[in-house]
Amino acid sequence: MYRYTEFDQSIVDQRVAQFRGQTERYLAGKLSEDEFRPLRLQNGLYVQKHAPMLRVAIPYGLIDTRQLRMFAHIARKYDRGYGHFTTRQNIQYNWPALDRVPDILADLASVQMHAIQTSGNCIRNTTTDQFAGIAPDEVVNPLVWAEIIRQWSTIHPEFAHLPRKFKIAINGARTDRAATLVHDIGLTALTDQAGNVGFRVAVGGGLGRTPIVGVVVREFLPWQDLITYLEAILRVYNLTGRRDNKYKARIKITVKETGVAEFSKRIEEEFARTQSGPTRLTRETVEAIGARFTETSYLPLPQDDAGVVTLAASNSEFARWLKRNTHAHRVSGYAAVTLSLKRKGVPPGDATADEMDAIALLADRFSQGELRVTHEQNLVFADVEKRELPELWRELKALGFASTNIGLIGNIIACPGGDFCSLANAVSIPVAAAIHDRFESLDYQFDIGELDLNISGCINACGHHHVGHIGILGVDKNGEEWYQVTIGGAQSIAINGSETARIGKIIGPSFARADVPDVVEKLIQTYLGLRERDDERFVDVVARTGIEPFKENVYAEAN
Amino acid sequence: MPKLIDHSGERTGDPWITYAGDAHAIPAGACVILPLTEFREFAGTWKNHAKALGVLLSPSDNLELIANDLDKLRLIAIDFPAFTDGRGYSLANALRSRYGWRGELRAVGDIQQDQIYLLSRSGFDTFALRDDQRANECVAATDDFTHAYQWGADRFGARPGPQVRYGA
Repeated sequence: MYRYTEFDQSIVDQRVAQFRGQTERYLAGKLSEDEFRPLRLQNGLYVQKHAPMLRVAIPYGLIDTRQLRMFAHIARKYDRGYGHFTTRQNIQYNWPALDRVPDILADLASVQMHAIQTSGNCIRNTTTDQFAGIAPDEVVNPLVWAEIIRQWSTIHPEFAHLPRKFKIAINGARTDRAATLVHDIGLTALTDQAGNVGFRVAVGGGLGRTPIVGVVVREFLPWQDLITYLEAILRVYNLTGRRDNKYKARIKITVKETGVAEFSKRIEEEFARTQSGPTRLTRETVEAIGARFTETSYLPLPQDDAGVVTLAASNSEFARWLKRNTHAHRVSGYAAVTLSLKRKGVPPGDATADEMDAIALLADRFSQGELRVTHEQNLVFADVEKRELPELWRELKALGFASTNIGLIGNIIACPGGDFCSLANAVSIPVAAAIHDRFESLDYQFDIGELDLNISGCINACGHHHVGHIGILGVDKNGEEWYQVTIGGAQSIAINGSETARIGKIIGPSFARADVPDVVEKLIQTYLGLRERDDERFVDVVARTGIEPFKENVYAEAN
Repeated sequence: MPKLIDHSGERTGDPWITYAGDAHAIPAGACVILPLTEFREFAGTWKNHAKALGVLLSPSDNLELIANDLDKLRLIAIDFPAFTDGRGYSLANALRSRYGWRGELRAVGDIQQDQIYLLSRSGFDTFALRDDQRANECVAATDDFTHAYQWGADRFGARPGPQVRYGA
């Protein structure tokens, strides 16, 4: 957890004051709707169907319990008692009053938080692996680099009015859990043979209307050049990205229309000019920022705990939870634990104020007072002593956060959809609920095995449907809600020995809402029939057989 | 005439006149701002007619086209056709840091209070405000933040910007 200095605090405090003034001018009629829009967006405020929506940044998904309690407080005081954790490691409130937003931002600033650049045509919250810093397969801890990027991108004067929004993700592990290749810039932190830290840089990935996997423009960028290189990319994009058509304004289109070779050449030219300039990072800077992170202290503990082994042998529910909801930790005797926010009858990612307070108590007791928000809309306790897992499990079960659906079909990712969002063509939450109910049986979920099912209510793809093993997209057909289904997408999949992202393929004509659970069921049945081994996942089968057998089964009856 | 401000307040008696196609409207011995194409073709002629020359850049203009003529200029103005068009920030930054421009850099067009801080940090030192803007509030906006994470091209200007954490 990065702790602010007075310097950091001054910036968020002055941002609150600035936005308070802007809001007052808007309410007094001195700022037009068009003028206020980019200002409120860059402070996290959308105008939605029912009310404004406020998106609060959770930088790279990391929060402490004081901040979580503030989320609960805000939910109670200014909203309807709950918040929604998003696929971009943020939290959203659906019912704040516009004139109270400056007060909310001031409350957030009091716990070193903000909503700066969570929307608008600017550099957004940088996202990373929810297991950053603790994953056994980690090569470089990305957290300090994510914080450096957060600071650099915050109120950057040159890049506050880009052609379109801009998202950066960073991963430092062998498995890419940050979906870096579907971001405007995807960074992979790694080391060279001499052990020096650097970054593989991919640009032009993205979901939305035109899903594209990013292309690597640098295999190894020395860490000293990180910010200078990011600036070079942003500068070329800012000057040459399209501003005539917002659907063609993302950097992925700029890269496509310019050509990768030419775009890359322009970046390199700009970089060559600025490389020795003031944005070059020094060891001193990196160490100073690293030193502001809270220290996690670990006890010397044996790798396995006898109590855990015994309980798992006698209690199948606990054994399942261990298998699905706990994750390996780089330190002996520790585990990471996922709290499932995917519950029957509750929209994916939602939590009430009381639940947030209860989770904060548990994080204080079991995980050194910190937790993470995942892009799968769940929460993670990253530093749990294994010997305390049985007790934590009982507590989470009592609160309803121990559903053993992590990585399974029950762990549906869904955007807020047409129930809340004014961009949506169709609802997402009721579709998620219907699928959730259909696959409620945990035995069945375990039999199906690992499966990412992602739902977006419109082409903007906040539910990341393109990279779902099964993706469901709400579309509008003559004013009616229909759903298009894709299969075979993956945020990270090994193809010919190297990790990449895959965009799912559309199986055919879209379906009525009521038919979606049946369609998913047919896809699953097809998969179970084709599976050659128990550990061959749905997405692996699609990669092996292609979409044809699935297509045939799903559309068989209609013919 | 739009109101003109700098960091310290409203600037009165601005000597600059922008050429808009009618040469007769420009008295001899004036300070004239020329569109880039006019400057490129007729700088020699204008130099004899005017006291000083400036150039007006649109956001799509290529800075290479004036790179060798900076010593002929006393002012560079960059147009913001809409306040959401952010290209001018990158042009300003490049002029200050890459081309070494130390003369007056003026933001013109759709210029209002909420851009002033960002423009100032990008190296602009004068601001031709949109008609409905209040000069005193826009001047105050140059100080919206006392601290900033990034280095900015304002370091090259007459007045240093906020306290900067990196690259200062």
